[in-house]
Amino acid sequence: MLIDKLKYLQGYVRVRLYGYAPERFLNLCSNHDILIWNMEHVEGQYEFCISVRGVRQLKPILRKTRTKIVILERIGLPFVMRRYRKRKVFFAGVALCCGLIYGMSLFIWKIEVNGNLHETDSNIIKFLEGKQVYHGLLKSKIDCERIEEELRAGFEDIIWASVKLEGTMLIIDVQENLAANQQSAGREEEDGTASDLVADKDAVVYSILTRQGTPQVEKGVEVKKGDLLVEGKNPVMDDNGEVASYQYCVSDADILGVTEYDYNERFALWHEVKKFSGEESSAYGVRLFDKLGMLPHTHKFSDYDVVTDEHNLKIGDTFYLPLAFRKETYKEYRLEKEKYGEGEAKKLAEENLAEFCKELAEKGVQIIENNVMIVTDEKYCVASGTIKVIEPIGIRRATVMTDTGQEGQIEDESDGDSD
Amino acid sequence: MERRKKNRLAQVKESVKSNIVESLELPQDIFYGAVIVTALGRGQVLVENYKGIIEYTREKIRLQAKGCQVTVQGEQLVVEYYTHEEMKITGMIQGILYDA
Repeated sequence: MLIDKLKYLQGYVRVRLYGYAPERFLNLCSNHDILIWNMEHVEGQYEFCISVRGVRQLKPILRKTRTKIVILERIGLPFVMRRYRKRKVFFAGVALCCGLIYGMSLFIWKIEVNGNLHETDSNIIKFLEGKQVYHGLLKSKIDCERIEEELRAGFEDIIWASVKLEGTMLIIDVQENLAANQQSAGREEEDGTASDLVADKDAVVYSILTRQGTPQVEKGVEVKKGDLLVEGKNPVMDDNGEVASYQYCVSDADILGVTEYDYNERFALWHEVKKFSGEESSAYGVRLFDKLGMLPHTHKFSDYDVVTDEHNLKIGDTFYLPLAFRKETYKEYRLEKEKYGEGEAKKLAEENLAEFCKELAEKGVQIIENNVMIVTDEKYCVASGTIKVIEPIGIRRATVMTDTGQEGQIEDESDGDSD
Repeated sequence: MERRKKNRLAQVKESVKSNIVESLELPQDIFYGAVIVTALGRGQVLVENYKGIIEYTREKIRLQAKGCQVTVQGEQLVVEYYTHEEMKITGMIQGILYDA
């Protein structure tokens, strides 16, 4: 295959050979290292392909063997070039096109962000624009490692970033810290000084398991928001059974409490519905670099949705060009008032409630009772009640240091004894 | 008398050469210039170490090799390419013959 392409580039001819001693001609050719291929015997004469350079060497051989050749076909790039040699503008166009494509390939035309869940693409791209990384930047000016560092520094929840150039595309892969975020935050606090656990909401203690600190509540006790659950200091008793000092610690416990969530939802039975009329109107445009040019377009819709499709021109998979075709479709709709039927309303309310419960469950909460009533009257559908759940309670708060208790205190006491 | 001597010398020379080639297991195509014919399926024959073309038609290609002639018979024979050393023949091959 490659050899065929090379032959085409160099140019070759198909010739017919006839005369006194064609076989001798063929042998002489091979002795002179003139390559001949695709030889066929047609009507007592030979037809074969020979390179342009080979034809130039043939003269003495032809004379020696008293044969003649007729050129049947000229194949190859040199002949094509010769045929079009007067079309200067065409060649200029080809050269210009090559130059343009090369020029365009020096810039970044697309930035792709992968792996981001919390931060939106446009957020990250906007951030990068602030750091002088934008569409249309020279590829040679891009320092992937610097971008990686800036991404990690600029976004707290991005813990890993990889930036690579592919064609005219800048590919940014990031990894966000999601669930681990809260854990690490908790741990940071634990590293600090002594702390208590206090209730973060009203609850009835369902179970308490203390690993460090002194528990102040027990199972079944009702606690209010702010009540102390586990204290971060352990009393040290002296011989009289009195508290001599305190050992401070970072309290650590699993406390589950039964809490109640109020659920109130109300929606009107009459509601507005978008009814698409099926009337559509499209506007077309071209985006070159950052400039957007739209063809003049009018529509007489008062309410409409716009769907924008943009098709980026690219060569291959990754060579994006700064040219895109844009189609905006306007879809007309009318707002119509509709009323939910009783069953429909109830179903909707139940769906909303199920969604709410699902969200709770995702937080790691166990639902034990669901006392929500759904009532539908003439105008409204009301769902109200409480949901009883078991969930972890307790937030960290710095322990209040009492005067007695530090190691220094013990020294004071010994001083007192000696007095 | 002179001629007979020369003949004998040539014979001795030949036998010494063949002894060396065989005992050292040297490649025969290089030392004897033996022709190599490689047939690939029905449609392709590669002939190496030939000396020249004697006859070429669509049905028959006769090649001169050292010590013998090789004839490839078939239908619609085409020489895909040939150089000083090798020739590739394609077409419907019906037979390969060796004659003196």
